Amino acid sequence: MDFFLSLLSQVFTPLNLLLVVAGSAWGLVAGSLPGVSSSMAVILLLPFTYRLGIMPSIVMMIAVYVGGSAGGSVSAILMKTPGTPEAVATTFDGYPLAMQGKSGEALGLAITASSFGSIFSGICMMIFAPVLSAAALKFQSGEYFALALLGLSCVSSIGSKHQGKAIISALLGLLVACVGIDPITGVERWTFNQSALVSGVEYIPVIIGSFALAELFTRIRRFNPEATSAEATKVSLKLLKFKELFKMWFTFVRSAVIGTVIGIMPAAGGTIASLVGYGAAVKSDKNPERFGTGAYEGIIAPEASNNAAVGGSMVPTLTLGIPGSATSAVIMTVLTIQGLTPGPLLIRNQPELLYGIFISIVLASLLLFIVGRFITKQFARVLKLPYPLLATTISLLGVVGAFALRGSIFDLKVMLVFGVVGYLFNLFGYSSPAFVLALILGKLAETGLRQQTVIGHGSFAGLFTRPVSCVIIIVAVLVFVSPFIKPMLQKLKKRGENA
Amino acid sequence: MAVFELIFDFCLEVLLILLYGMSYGFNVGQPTRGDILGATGFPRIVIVIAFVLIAYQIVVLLLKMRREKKNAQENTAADESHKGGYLRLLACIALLIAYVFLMNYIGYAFATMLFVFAFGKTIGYRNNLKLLIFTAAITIILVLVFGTVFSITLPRGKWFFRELSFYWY
Repeated sequence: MDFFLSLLSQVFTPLNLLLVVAGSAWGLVAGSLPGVSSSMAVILLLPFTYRLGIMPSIVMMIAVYVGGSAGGSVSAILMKTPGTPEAVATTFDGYPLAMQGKSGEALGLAITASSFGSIFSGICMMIFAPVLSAAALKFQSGEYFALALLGLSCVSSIGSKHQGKAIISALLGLLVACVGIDPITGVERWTFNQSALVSGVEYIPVIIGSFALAELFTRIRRFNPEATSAEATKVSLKLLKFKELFKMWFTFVRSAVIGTVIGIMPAAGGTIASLVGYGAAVKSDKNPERFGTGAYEGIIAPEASNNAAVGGSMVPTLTLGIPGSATSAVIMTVLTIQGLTPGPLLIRNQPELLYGIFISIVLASLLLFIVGRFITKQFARVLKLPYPLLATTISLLGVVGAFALRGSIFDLKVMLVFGVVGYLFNLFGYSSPAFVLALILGKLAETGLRQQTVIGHGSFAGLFTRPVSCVIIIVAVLVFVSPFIKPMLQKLKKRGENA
Repeated sequence: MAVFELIFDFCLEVLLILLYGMSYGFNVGQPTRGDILGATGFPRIVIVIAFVLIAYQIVVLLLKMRREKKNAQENTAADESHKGGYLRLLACIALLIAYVFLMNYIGYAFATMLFVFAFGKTIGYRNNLKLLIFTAAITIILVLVFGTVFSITLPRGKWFFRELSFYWY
């Protein structure tokens, strides 16, 4: 008890509270700008940590991380341009909601779900961190492959209007993911002698192109300059009533659990967490066709998952010295600058630091809820712009977002190409979300599968003899085939009733 | 529209065939022990499945086109009304390409200014004064936020544009 009281007194100082408010606000703003990731937002604050002590530095960094993870949803909802890769899945339902004039609800839900996700993971980590870090080490290539498969399994539902085309889109995404150096043999695949393609196709320019630009192209084609500006509607951040939120409690909890568990796995991170969380929400819903058209659960699931991954990713970072994500790698650097070495000894010698971090996650998330309301409201004003100016803003943010990644004009070309491809996909009923989902998970799937065959001396049996991977694969297959089987079962049921 | 979709599907099939053929050119070398799929296995499997599924889509589409041949006249009328929209779209894509191309020569700030004004006009914004103010404001904001605050090295261009850019970001 004394330990926790002294810990609370270390975390809840006026300076720390100020740093948490400033950090989460900074993270939120940076996260909502395409091309500025939460890791970049953390890096930019690095010089401030030299003069601050250990706890204030960590508290501030964690607040930026939490704010950054939530911030990506703002531009994803308002402009169909995910501010961070973690917010890709939020665009699927967030943007359609904004188009229905419900951007306030969508932003409110995103902030609520983000806060819930990180509070949940912070509390979970306080209780289970040492046990979970040991379990995370047992995850091998087979489990990673199974996880990627689970993420991919929802493609048949994302494009439920044209399931066949959604699967084709996903296959094309898998192919694009194969471009670059093969991770196992080092062979170059489809690089066309372009050095920028050696490390593969960066998915941020692809996402900006196929989501933001493609949507822009579609709306520009339909836009009528003669019509008065109907877009300039009033935008206000709305929170759903507690009763309505409580109806979706299971989505909140399940997504937070998924995010926490995936966050713990080294290098998995919030992007995969949000996609798997979204997939799980789609599959467990009675009417999966609602998703992609503006379902509330379609925002809750990815946002709760990606923010829950924040707490999860700090576990391997602190307990094993293996960063769970790019941002936690930067936070690990902060610890090193402060003269600390993350790893098992850190936990043994300075347990208050570990618990201090998890308390700051909870604190930052609570404050995010308040700060987020104010900041997102300011961002939402962008929708009041007349469409030609809004379209120009979106294209400018898309261009700078794609360029900022590596400072490469090549990435801008990639963005333009996939902008046109995405437009054609929309026009002919193919699924850009399925394409992007496969692009992100493709490398993980291929590497996991092939590494497992190398470990198994050429056999795939290892995927099924390892209990965790076997269970995940079975679930993934069931999830994938269910949209095809469901109508058949319903037909059979009707026939039976008629007979 | 179905005709264009058919062309798109055919293009995808041709692309898949090309990619499959090119996979024979990969410098595979000594295979890793136990890696039965190798560098070409996974993508080839994906290509074959995609090829079959797209071929199926083409057959379905052809059958659908045959059924809906009667409505062709109505569709043509509808397409006519979208002609202006397609022209605007093509102009916007051309402007984006020009913007990316120009960045390398006149730098980010100047290219952005030209692009914002031209893009706004192309989409149909009428008020020139407001558009000029917006052009100046958004360029300054973007350069300050991304170039100065976030220290992103924005394209500086060539010749004197490059020298000038150092005063901005």
